[in-house]
This record gives sequence, C-alpha cells and structure tokens, in this order.
Amino acid sequence: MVKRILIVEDEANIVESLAFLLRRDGFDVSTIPDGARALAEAERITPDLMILDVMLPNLSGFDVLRDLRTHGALGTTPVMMLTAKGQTRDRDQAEQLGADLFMTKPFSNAEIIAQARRLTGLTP
Amino acid sequence: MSQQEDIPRARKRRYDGAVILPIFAAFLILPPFIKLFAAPVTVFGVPLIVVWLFGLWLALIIIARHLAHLLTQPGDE
Amino acid sequence: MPSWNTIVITSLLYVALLFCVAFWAEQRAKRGQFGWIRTPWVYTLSLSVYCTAWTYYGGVGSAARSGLEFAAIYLGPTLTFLGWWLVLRKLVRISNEQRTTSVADLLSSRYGKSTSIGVVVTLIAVLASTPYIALQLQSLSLSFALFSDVGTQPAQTAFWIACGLAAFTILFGTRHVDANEQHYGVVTAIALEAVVKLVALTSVGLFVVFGIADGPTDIFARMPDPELLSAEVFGPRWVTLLFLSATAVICLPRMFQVAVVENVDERHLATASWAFPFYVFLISLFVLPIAIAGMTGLPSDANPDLYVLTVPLGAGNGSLALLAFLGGFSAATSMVIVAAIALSTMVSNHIIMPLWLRSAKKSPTASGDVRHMLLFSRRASIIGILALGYIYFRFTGGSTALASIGLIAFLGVAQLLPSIIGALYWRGATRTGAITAVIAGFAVWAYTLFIPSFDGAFLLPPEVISNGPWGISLLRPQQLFGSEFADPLVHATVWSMTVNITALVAVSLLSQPSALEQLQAKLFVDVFNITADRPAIALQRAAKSEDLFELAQRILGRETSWRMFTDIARSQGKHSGLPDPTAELTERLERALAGAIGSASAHAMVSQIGGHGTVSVSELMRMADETAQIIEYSNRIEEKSRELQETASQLRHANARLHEIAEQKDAFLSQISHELRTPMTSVRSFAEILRDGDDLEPEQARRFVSIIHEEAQRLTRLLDEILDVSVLENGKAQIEKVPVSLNASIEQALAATEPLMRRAGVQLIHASGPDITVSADRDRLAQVLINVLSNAVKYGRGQPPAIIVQVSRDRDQVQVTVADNGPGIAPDDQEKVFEKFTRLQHQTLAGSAGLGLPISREIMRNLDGDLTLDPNGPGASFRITLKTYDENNHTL
Repeated sequence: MVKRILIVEDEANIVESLAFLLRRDGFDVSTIPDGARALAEAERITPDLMILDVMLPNLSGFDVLRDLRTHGALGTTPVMMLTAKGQTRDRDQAEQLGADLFMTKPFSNAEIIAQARRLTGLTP
Repeated sequence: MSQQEDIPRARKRRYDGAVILPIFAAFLILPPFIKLFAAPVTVFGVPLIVVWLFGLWLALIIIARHLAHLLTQPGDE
Repeated sequence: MPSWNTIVITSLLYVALLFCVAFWAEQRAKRGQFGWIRTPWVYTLSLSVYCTAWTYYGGVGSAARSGLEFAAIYLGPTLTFLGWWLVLRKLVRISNEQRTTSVADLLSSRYGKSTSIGVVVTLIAVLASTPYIALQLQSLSLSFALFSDVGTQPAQTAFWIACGLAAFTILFGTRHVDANEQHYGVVTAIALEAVVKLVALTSVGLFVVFGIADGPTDIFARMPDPELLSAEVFGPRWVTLLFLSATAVICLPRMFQVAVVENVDERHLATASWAFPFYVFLISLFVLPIAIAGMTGLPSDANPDLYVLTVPLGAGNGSLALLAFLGGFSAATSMVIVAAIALSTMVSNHIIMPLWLRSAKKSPTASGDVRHMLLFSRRASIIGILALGYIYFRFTGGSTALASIGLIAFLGVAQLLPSIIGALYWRGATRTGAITAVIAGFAVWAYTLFIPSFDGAFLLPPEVISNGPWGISLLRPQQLFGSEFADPLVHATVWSMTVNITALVAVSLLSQPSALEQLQAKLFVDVFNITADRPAIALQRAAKSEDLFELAQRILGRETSWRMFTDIARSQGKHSGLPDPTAELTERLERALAGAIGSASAHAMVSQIGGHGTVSVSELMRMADETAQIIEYSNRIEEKSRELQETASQLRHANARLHEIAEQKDAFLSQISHELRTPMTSVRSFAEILRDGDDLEPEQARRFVSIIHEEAQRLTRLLDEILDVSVLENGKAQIEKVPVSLNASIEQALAATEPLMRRAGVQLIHASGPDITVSADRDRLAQVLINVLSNAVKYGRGQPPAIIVQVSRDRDQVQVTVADNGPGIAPDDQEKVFEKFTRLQHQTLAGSAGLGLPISREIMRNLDGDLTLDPNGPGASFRITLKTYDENNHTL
C-alpha cells in the first residue's frame, strides 16, 4: 500500500524538491503552503507522515504540531519537522510537543528519504 | 570645585546672601550714600536722617533674622 | 530725689540679687539643668557688655555734642553681627575646636603656640583696658555722687565698688578651672543686667518723649540747633567710628570672652546675628530724645554725660532716676566683671603660668598642685587688674582725658585685628609677622593717640605734642609726616592700621614659619573642612600614662580627669586601668588643658612630661603634609563616591541596554541563518538530485538548474542587503547629495517595478506634476522608491489592487507618498515594519529578507530626509521625505 506524505512548507522550491524526491521513491505526496490549512488537509488525506516546516504563514509549525497531537484520530501521525534556524531551543520545543524527528535545512536528500521510509514503517 | 557645585542652589544663595548683607549694609551707612538723607527735611516732624537711619537699621535686622533662620535650617552645615 | 541711703541700699539689694542669680545659675549648670541658661537669648543679652557706662551715659552726651555720631558706635557692631557668617562663625568654630580661652590664647595658638605673642597681646589688652575700667569706676562714683547729700569721697566710693566687683568676679569667675572656661553664673547675671540697662534707658526715653514732650514730633521740634543733625557728622570720623566699633566686638577682651569663649552653641550666633543688633537698636532709639530734653530742659552747665540721670531728676521723677541709676550701675559693673575675668585669664595663662613653669624647672607633676596655683593666679590677677583700674582712676580721675578713653581703647585693641584676620584667613601669616604688627601698631597708637590724650601730663610734654620731639615737625604725634587730619582719632587710626597691616604682610612674607605654626595655620584656616572628619593630628611623645593622669588631675581636678581618662581607655578597648599613652591621649589631654591654662602652657606642660617635647621639624612637616593629604583625600573620596554612584546607575542602564542589544544580535543572527539556509536548502537538494539522477529528463534537469540559479541570485541579493544595512548603519555609506530630478527618479522606479505590478494586476494611479530638483543620490533614491513600490505591490492586495503615488511640496520639504488600498498595517506593527527581518504574520517576502524597509529608511536618513508610515488611511501609506536642492547650501 502506498504511503501518504503531507508536506507543509511555504517555500515553493523546497516543496518542489521534496515532492520530486519522495514521489520518485514511491510515496503519495500532498503539499500545502499554509499552516492554518494544514490540519484540515491532514484530516482529509490522513497522511502516514507529515513533513512540517516551522516558519509558516498564518500558523507556525509548532502550533500545527500541537493541534495535531491533541487531535483524536490524527494524534499519532509521525511528524518530521524542518527548520532553517536550527537552534537547540527550537529542537527542544519540537521534541516536547511530540515531533518524531527534527531536521535542519539544508538537508541531505538521502537522509530525508531514509527517514521518511523509517517513519512510515517501510523500513525498521 | 566640586564641593561648591554640590551645594544646592538655594543653599548657595543663602551663603551668598550672608556674605553680601554686611557689605550692602556698610554701603548704605557710609558716606557718600548716607549724606543724601542728611537734608533738613522732616517726616511727620521727625528729621529725615533719623527716620532713614533707624528705619534702615530695623530693615537690616529683619533681613538678618530671615537669613539666620534660613542658614540654620536642618541639613545646613 | 532718692536719698543717699535709698541709693546705697538699692545698690546693695541689686548686687545681692545679682549674687543670687549667679549662684542659682551656677548651681543649675552644675547639676546639668541648663534650661534657658544656655539659650541664644541669654547669649545675646550677655553680648550687651558692649554697652558700658561709657555708652550708657556717654552716648547721650555724645548725641548732645555731635548729633548722630553716637549711632556709629552701635552700627559698627551691627555690621559685625550681620556678617557673622564670615568672621564670627569661624572664630567660634576655631575656639571650640582649640578650646580657646581668650583673644591672646587664640593668637598664641594660631602662631605656633607661642608664649611671646601671648605675653604681648596680654600686655596690650591690660594696657588698653585699664583706663576703660577706670572710666567705669569714675562714672559709678560720679553717679553715686549725684545722689549724695553728704559730701562723699569719690575715691572712697570707687574703692569700695572696686572691692565689691573683685569679690563678685572672684566668686563666680574663678569657682573652678574648667576645660572650657564657661561661666554660667556670670553670664546669667550679665544677661539680667542687660535687661535692666535696656528697661532703664527705654523708660527714661519714653518718659522724655511722652512725659516731658508731647510725642516724637514735639521732642524733635524742641531741638535747639538743627545743625546738630547736619551731614557734617558723616565724614572720616564717622567711617573711623564704624570701623573701630565693628572691630571692638571681636577684639575687646571682654567681647571676645562673651561672644566667643562663652559661646556654647554655634547656632546661638545665628540668633544673635539679628537679636544683638536689635538690642543696640533699642538702646540707641531714645538717645537723641534724651539728649534734646537735657539740652532744652536743664541749665547749660549741666554735664551732658549725666543727662540720663539728671533729666528724670530735673523733672522730679525720683523713682525713674533710681531706675536710670541702676541701669548705669549695671552697665559699669557688667563691663568690669567680664573684663576682669577675661584679662585675669589672659594674665594668668600667658604671663604667670609660663613664668611659674619656667621657674619651677621641674616636672609639673612633681611641683605642688597646679590647679591650686592656677586658681590663685587667677584671683590675684583679678585683684591686680581692678587695682590697676582704681589706681589709674585715682591719678587721672576727673580729668577730661577720661571722656574719650572709650575710643582710645577701641583703637588700642583694634591693633589685634589684622593678626586675627590673618590667623583666620591667611595661612602665610607668621608669628614674627604678627608680633611685629601688633607691637608696631600699638606703638603708633600710643604715640599718636594714647599719650597725647594726657595733654602733656604723661611722658610727652605739651611742646613735644605740638612741635614734635626735638622740634622735628615731621614727627609731631598728631600730624605724623605732616599729614593733616582734622581729627586725632582718624589720624591715629589711619597711621596705626597702615603700619600694622604693612608690618604683618611684609614680615610674614619675609619670615619663615615654624613647623608647628604651619600645622596650626592649617587647622585654623581650613577649620570648616577639617571639623567634619577631624584627622588625628598628634605629636608623637613618649609619656607615661601615669604621669599624664597626674598632670590632668592637678589641673582639671580628680573627677574630670578620671572621667576623661576612663573614656579614652574605653575607646581603646580597655575596661580597667589607665589608657595606653597613645598620641591621641596626649593630644586630647593637651586640648583639655588648653581650655584651662591656654594652649602655649598646655603644650609646654605636656611636652615637658613627654620627655623631650621637641618634635623634629621634619616630623611636623610630615604631619602637616599628611593632614593636607587626608583633607584632600577625604574630599576626593567624597567626590569619588558620588561619581561611583552615578557610574553605577549608568552602568546598570548600559547593562540593560547591552542585554537588549545581545538579544537583538542573537535574533538577528538566527534570522540571517534562517534566511541563508532557506535558499541553500533548495540549492543543495536540487544539486544532489542532479548529481545522482542519471534518469532525469533534459527538460526537468534544465528546470532544476534554473531553480538553483534563481536561489543563488536570491542568496547574493540577501548578502548585498545585509552588507548594505551594516554599511548604512555605521554611516560609512558613500551617499552623495547632488541635484536629482524627482520625476526622473519616480519614472525609473516605476519602470523597474512595472513587470511586478503587471503580474499582480495592480492599477497605478500617478499623475506626474512639475519637476522638483531634490538633494539626493540618484541610484539610492531609486532603490528606496523601488523598495517601497514593490512592498506596496506585495502587501497591498486590494480588490482590485491599486497603488497611488503622490508628490507634494512645502517650501524646501518634498514628500512622496506611496499608498496602497490593501488592509493596511495594524497599529502595533507600524514601527515593526522598519525593523530588520520583520515579516508581519510570518509571511516571507518573495526575494527579500525583510531588509528592504530598514535599508530604505537608513538611506533616507542619510539623505537628511526620512521614511515614515502614515498611520492614517485605509491602506498602508509610506511617506518619503526629501529636501529640495538648494544652491546656497551646497556650493561651499
């Protein structure tokens, strides 16, 4: 069964590269550039993994994560957070809110693919 | 010096007043100034010079009293 | 007219009352119940010893002869007290610090604790005061004689009066030898006498004005000769009298005694500064009316000096005459008593004690009871002084010479003034200078005024007075060097003061002060700086505590000494036994002894015990330097602590600011990092895709490459902007101000943003008006306009989007407004848009790192203009302010 990934990111070029990589690896990829609409989109497609940027328009990645974790059906969705800031404070906050992984931009393509496979349960 | 600057303005003025008062008083009772009043004129029957001298005297006493009061206020050295 | 018996009995009762009052006050003071004895009022009243019989009776006499001249004698002290802040305050402070016992002690102490200057000053004081005391005895015997119906012997009367005064003075003036020569009994009795004087004279005055005459107008209408009040009186003599009487309240031994030595509280001086002038004002108020009444109501041969008594007697008012008599009695007795105390202290401390110390040649502890000796010498001095006065009275009694003796005495003691002023204000005044000045001034005084006042009966025969010694006319005593002064007093004053001051200055400059003199000079002149935190200045002397205690006991008495020594022992941390013989102990003891026997003797005694009292000059110099340093140092510390406080608060402020800046810097770096990483992410990701992917379609690969290119450009722009901000903020930007056509700049910016606007469908509303030449940098201004315009395009988002560009001008101010019809900017965010990396609501600007507006604002400020956000208006409205180009401002 094809795993679904929702990318929440506002930088079009980054979205394009991520989507290209993941699709080439066989994932079903949806994208949304707005934090406020992220949860609704997730409800609609019930993703197996959410790749979440921190700096988002309208609603920050942390807020999206918090809402997601308190959302009954989606509460256990694995989340990979992306940030360009890379400060320990942000990393701590992400872990506290229940992010499964915290990745700093720029990332390595191979790493992203490997982690996406791991988090969606394709590889142990 | 800084000590001078440290004295609040009001107090500095009092100190100045204490120094100026006797000088001013001396000027008023020394010739040539005092001679101005030694004219054969009377005020209510009393010679002008007598009125001037004793009036001035009393005025100086009142000023001195006021000044002494200011100078001995607490906080003043 | 009161009978002779009435007068004698009244006098005796009055004297008994004075004894009781003095005794009572003394007892209270002993028990420590000072009450009003130590009030400024008693102090002020005691100052009235200034008003002696000479002024009490003689004032009216003087008014009858020379009109207002008498007022000068009272106005002089008024001036001195009005100026208390300058001189008296310092004198009192120094005296309290140094335990000064007399004017001789003051000068001796200041000029190196010198014995010789003490002797000179004492002799002068005695010489000048003896005729004065005689004058009091004369006026007393004269006033008694006036009431006597039986023929009395004036000499006999005077003798008994002198005896009575001696008894009183000995009883209350030498009851004890105190560490601070203060006589509460005497002072209180003197205060009572002051009240009697004032009441008596005022009563006579009121009687004259409202009893004999019909009010002030009437009494002045009776004035026999209007010339009495002419301007003639305000000549050189008036000035001289003012000077002498102003000086006398400081220099006269009895005035120094009451004003300085008996002062228990510096604040009393403040009260006296107006209350004493008020007292003499009241005393003078009725002098002229009484004189007029005497001149018009009494036979022309009546002695004007006795008008105070004869006017009420002539009017048949016996009881008033009795009161007037008591007033005069008070004036004379109070003067004699205080003068005797002051002079006896001086004679005993500065002549007898040094002689005795020298003759004893032994350690003072081993040579009998010093205390006993001291009291004995005081008492003997009192008797001696009164005897001198009496003898003088007997030999010159009745002569007219006595009439002017008051002023002669004033000038005699005025010879001390330059040295006193020098002592207080001139550190350079030396002992030799002071001695020379005093002796020279005194010699001139004696030659030009004192001896000629005997009219040839004493020392100088009449022909010498009129022709000069050996017929040398240049040396005529009253026309020295041919100088013509109408008045001998003025003549003598001018010459003696000139010689005196010249000698003081010249000799002081030429002579070398001893180390101790320099030390004392510092302590005197800088008294107000030192008192606050007195640095311990003490001579290092090796004395045994036992010996010092023995000495103290002998002079101060067992109880006082014990208290003082245990006090010092306790402060040293010893709970029993004598204190260690530290420098502080010897120094305190010396000061305490100085209060009793004068500084010179105290110094000599303590030094004698302490082995060799002589301190090496180098050590004294070192101490003097240390003192100066300590004063300087404490001043500096004070200043420093103030500065430190200020600095601390500035530092706190700066620290808070630094904290803020550090946080801003962190935020800035984190922002930069974010802004750089974002394009870098795409670049890296696509680069990896291109590297690894052999199966890419050429179309896809080209697209990815173009993304990489685009992001690389974005990075470059970002770095440029960051650099721009840094350069602009540091003011290092090369921005020139040249004439620029505003219309051309706007067109350039519109052309640059035209594609952007077209893509966003923005409708541009712009009507170009007449061109304005502004002072700007062409490229920079265009950059700002482009920034603002693209900002409006990005955020405007009206429906449909529109941008309005307007230009307006007010004199040399030009405004370009760029407004959009979007939602506008929330008030809270209006200032934030000019902060670096601000993106409202987390929105990322395409191709900008959020530095556009901050950069634009910096540019405009560098161009002497500004970029602001107009808070009003439906959408966001940015206003660019510029200056027009002005030829005059730029062609330098």
